[in-house]
Amino acid sequence: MEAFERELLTLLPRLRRFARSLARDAADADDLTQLALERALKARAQWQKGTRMDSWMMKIMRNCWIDEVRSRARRAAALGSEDVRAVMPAATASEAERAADADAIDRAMNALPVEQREAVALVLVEGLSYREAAEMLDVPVGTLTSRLTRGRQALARTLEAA
Amino acid sequence: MMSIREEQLMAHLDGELSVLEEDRVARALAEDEALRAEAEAQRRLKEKLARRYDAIVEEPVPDRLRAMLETNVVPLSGPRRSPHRPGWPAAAAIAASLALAVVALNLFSTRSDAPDAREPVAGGILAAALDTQLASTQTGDAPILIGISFAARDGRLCRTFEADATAGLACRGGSGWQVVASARSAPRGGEYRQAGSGSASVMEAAEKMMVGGPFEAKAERAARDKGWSGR
Repeated sequence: MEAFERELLTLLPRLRRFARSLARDAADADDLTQLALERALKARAQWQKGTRMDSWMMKIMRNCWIDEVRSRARRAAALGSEDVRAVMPAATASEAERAADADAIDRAMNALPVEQREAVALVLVEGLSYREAAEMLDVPVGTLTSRLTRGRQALARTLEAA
Repeated sequence: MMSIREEQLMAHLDGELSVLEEDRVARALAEDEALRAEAEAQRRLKEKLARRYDAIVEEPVPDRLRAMLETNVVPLSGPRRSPHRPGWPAAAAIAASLALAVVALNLFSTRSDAPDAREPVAGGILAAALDTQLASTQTGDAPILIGISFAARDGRLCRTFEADATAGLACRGGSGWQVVASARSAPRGGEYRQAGSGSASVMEAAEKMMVGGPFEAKAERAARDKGWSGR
């Protein structure tokens, strides 16, 4: 096994975590992980030894996810709905009330707009610094912090509603 | 009104503030009870998210994902090895990733622009082999062996392939390689793997679709270099 595969293999648990915080459910998350791995294996020549593979992989995964979200939005638009969130399960206060468990968190995350969700995933789940996350998303730090703030306020409202 | 912005409170919780800003936030927190309550709520949220998602890291990684990395290594020579699983036979790994290649792309097989949603789209190592591997230069120990390449009547370029116990025929469409035929073939012994032997039914299907005979090495290379774009 080459160093490239070995390093990816050790990253896999973390990549699955990142995928889980982006994708709708566990099955979608593993499909997303697979897609990102396929892309990474194809693009392996672009990865430079000695640079951080985790950031490289997270960026690939995030791009895969955005592609999927967009194509889902296009399909939804074709069906007469233009809101990306309309094709995702919505969180309701009563669901969050049941328990602040994994399920409630998943639903609350699903209800976030895409931009807020990826900011939350990168900073609060993956622990990236504001600067790292902003670079990965290719937005100014100020944009990142405002998306992050709105996202976590919405999450706190949904999950604390009791 | 709060004397600091929401973003500053969040940045304080994330350890992203400068010393001067920290001082301002600390003073605001001391004065403002509502702000303290919000900081507390946000702290709880951070913990909840960490607990929920860190649980994923502890889960065992599904075999299908692991197999992608353990079977994607094609050594230039010598026997295949899977150091992480000494007992995992390469054949099973290839079969698993082939099955994966065929079924796991269901994400795409329902795409509205797929010419025929019933034809599975190749992914993983199969797609990579179909994209890049040449029958004229492949080594016998490659996980996927390419048989013949040809132009089909409908203008697509197609290739036959073999993995351990599967022979198949894939044609390049707008959404990737579509597996138009596949059959189980006699498993090849490790030392006696030969490209092109194919299973009879796959070869038959290929011959029916073919115009102008199989590509020679030069035509195969030219087709690959043009991305199998066909007519």
